[in-house]
Amino acid sequence: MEVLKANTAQYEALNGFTNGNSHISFIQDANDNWIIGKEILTDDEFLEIRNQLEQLKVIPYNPKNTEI
Amino acid sequence: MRLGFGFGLQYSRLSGGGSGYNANYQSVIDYANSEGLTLPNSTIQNLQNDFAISIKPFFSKLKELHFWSGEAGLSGFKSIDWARLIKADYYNSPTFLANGIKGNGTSSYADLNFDADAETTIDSLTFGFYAPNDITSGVTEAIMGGSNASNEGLLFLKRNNDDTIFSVNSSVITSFAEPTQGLISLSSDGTTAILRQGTTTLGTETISTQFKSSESVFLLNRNANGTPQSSQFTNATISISFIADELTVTELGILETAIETFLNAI
Repeated sequence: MEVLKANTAQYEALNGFTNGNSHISFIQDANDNWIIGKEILTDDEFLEIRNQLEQLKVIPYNPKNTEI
Repeated sequence: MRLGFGFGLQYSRLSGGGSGYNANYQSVIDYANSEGLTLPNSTIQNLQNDFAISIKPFFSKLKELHFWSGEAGLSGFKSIDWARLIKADYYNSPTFLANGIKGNGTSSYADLNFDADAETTIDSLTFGFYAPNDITSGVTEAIMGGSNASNEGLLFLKRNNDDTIFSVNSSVITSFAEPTQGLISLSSDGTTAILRQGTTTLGTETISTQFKSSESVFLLNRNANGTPQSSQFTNATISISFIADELTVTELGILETAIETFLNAI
């Protein structure tokens, strides 16, 4: 499975973007990368920032292991 | 014959309502209109109205009900909580299929904006969801839950190591049989937790505390003290989700039949 990775500048620019009740909120993976699923690239709610989202780097998904 | 059919249809749509649809469903339609949300087509509306009529006897028990199925798309209308008439928030683009909201297994989820601390009437509860597909396949971790820093909250987890975990406050429960699909619910009266698939009991366990959480409940992931957990998303599809004052087995059976009737008709 692949996800999109944001560098620091991209994270600061995009994290918290909101359109109505749709939000961008990056998740930290096992290497503390800020990642997000590729579905945001086709979500019309994020059309306004699609050019910026398309600049995110594609990396393999490596989830951080957490316990309840 | 045509007269008889027409009369029956009219009676069905007026039962419980008076303004065309069942009163509870009409409130959802009215709220959607007030928010400028696109409505489902008339076929879906009539089917959802039938669903509302079916669950009318216990609708007042519902503290949260999201109807995630219907036409594909329509994320705005599907965000409406039928019980509270407020909207859920979406994070990172969950997918809206005809049979439900679908996670991507990595980052997408819905915040139901449900804070149990504000729901002072909940002394007992049933929470759950309808999964139209087998949740034991694919990426299926946390499906529904919210808890604070003390692990107080409610939680449904299905981990890759096949542990099925429920938590009511700090009482973590792992001894249940594994649910697969359909209406999956956990009921708690503060002393006993019962996991059911439909009306079938998969397990019971004594617990020590009642439902309480200062964090909002998430769907397709869990809310752990305000932070979604990266290893606990799911790519499962969920047709409805609900939190209610404790539902009886009969009521769960009615709910199961109602959503399955809807899903079979679309």
